[in-house]
Amino acid sequence: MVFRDISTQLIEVADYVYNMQPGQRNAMILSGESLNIIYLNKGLLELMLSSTDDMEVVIGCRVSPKQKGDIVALMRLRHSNKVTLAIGDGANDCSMISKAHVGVGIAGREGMQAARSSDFAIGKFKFLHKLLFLHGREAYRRNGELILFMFYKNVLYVMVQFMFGYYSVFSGQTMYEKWIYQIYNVTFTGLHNIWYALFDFEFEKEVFMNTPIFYSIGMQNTVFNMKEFWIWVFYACAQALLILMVCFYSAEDT
Amino acid sequence: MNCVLLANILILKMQHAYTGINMMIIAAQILCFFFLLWYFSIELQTDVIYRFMDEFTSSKTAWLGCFFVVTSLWTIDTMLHAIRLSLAYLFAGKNETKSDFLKQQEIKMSLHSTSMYS
Repeated sequence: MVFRDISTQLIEVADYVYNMQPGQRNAMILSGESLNIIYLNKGLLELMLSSTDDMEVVIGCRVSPKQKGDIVALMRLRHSNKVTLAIGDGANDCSMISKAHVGVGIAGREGMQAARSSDFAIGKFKFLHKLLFLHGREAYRRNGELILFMFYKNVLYVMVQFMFGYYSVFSGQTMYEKWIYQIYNVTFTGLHNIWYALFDFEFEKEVFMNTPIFYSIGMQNTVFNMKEFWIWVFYACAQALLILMVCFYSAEDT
Repeated sequence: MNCVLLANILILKMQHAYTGINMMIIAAQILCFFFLLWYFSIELQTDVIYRFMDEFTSSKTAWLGCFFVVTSLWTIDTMLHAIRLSLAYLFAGKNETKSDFLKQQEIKMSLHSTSMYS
């Protein structure tokens, strides 16, 4: 009887979602009991997941700690290219926190278990805003840009030598002195990366907190992706060619 | 030298918080190169670099070349940014990512135009 009720309801939801207007926002509430039955049947599970894909928010109520973890694992499996975040303050959230990509634990009244099993521990729920919109966003941007910069500076350095091979008939003649090779990454271009990774903020803190659209760079992965990588490599190659030309033609009369 | 200059000036350009300390670090790294070049040009007498510093600093075309290479950071960057913005405007509304990118660009431009963060 219960099974039939749930399947009927899910079919109704799927039908509703199918006929939904574009831009319409909906929410879905699932109870722990229903989830128990849905998990036992593959067809119902698929029906539920296809319906929840178009929902703005899905709320699970009266769910067990294991079910919380299972929901996160299911989402990771279904949307493998998405990043999941779980936040909780009690021991019943540990499973969910450890299964998500990013686990945030709140240390406080319900003990330290959640904070201990999390990646990031905060003191109050309200700090999540700052953690995500300011520190999370900026950490992603700085890390992404620095990785690309590392590729850039090394491609720039090596491509000049590679292109120089055309002038030296690939005889193995080096363009730089050996000491430059050895200390280029450590002494000439190493220290400011640390500074950049620690202290650079794109805007003032209030701007990040009040402008949520800036947070979307992490969700859409716009800073560090394949396209950006090749743009930076192209950038380095173009400048390496320029350096080679300038070095050759400017030193012609000396 | 151009590689060192470019890498350092590019990261200076990437930064948003010009506190002075970061600029000093970058200046120290660039000057470190010149110091080592000078030192090795008088020390390594058997190497090809011997007396290279004098020759290099006396060449005006070499310095002009350096200036040209460094300014290319702004020209290439501006060209790429213009192409990217044009493409984003061209395909605006096709999907959410590009419209978000445009919205962010517009907010950034408005913030920079008030010269609060530039």
